[in-house]
Amino acid sequence: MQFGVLVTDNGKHSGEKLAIACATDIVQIGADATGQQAIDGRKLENRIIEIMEAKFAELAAFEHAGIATRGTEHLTESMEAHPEILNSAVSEIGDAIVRSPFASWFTSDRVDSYVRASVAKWLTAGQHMHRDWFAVHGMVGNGTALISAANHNPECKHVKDWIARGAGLNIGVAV
Amino acid sequence: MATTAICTTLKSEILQAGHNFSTTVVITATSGNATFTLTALASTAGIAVGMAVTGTNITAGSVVASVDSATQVTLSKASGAAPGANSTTFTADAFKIALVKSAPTRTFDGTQTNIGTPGSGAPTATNLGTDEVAASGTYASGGSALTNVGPVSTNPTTSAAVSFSGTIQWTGATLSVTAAIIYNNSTRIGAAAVPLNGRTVSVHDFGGTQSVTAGTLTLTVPTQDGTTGLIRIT
Repeated sequence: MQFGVLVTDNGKHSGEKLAIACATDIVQIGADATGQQAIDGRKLENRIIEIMEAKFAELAAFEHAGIATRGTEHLTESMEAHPEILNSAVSEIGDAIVRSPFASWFTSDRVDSYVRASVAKWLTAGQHMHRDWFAVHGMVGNGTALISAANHNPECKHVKDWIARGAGLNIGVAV
Repeated sequence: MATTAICTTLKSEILQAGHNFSTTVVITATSGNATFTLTALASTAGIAVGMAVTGTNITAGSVVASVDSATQVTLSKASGAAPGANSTTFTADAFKIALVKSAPTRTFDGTQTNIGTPGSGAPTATNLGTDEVAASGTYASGGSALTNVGPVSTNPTTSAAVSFSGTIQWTGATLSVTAAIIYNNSTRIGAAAVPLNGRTVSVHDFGGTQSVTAGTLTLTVPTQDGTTGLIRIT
């Protein structure tokens, strides 16, 4: 019943931070775990962090290019996880798992779908973050190195739609 | 302060069909008449009585009155005409998530029954009130909309879990928060002394104060299963 909480001051989560969160989601090591399995688990987690850091950099480049060329219209792009980045990430993580001592643990389709769901969740979170900073705050860039976007238009319908969708319906019922 | 818990009232309200966590169903009804029925649906899977219905020629405020067969539903309001080849959308209840400020005056837990008027009034079991964190960045009073995933029977197979998709995230925000409250923003069942909507579902403690300055706060939803799922019946 617990939410995970990810916090970054003065800007966006870095690709590194998102990668760590994604890897922790996939390789869940008990806080009190010790011994060889815990060491091997950390190594696998580190490998997934390396893979996902590159993927989040790719995602940032895709989002920034989309914003640069299409401006606010980019906000209407699908919010499904970018399919090419998703597929390559799942494939590379699969390879890393096969090469790890945990290969036999990760053989069922259920595990594969779990990895895919986790990567998709974090890619979508990253995508949402880039677009939200652009749509609502008119900022682009990575991590805390943000700059004002030249082509941001707060009056654009796509920007207004984006903000309305995030807020959902307001309630105002007196108690 | 807060204690992670499913709200006690949720349990009885579930037994009264007071919450529908189903995912949105978008489907084409190729025909229908200008009265109450939608016919020739490709499927009625996932459609439940009470779901809101929107689409071409569907009268505003329509809900599903009955599921008549695998291909037909009856609506609560007469349609202007058949929907033709257009998609019709069936939507379950709208859930939202609001944030509790650090050092709140009330201890939020499973006794919470309603979100009340976030940001206004004394915090009580029926009102988050002034214990809601102040709006900042993309966090607005009342919190953010959630996207239903739909309940599943899950691991272990004797369990059921509810989850939400999409990204629960606030940007450009300066917040200091200690918990979140999920609530149902749809009016599905009547109530006496509390708002008809805003019935609380669950309280989620963050294990301490979480602060962000002009930055990004992301909540990640755990795996939808019987041991870690956000809201589960085991």
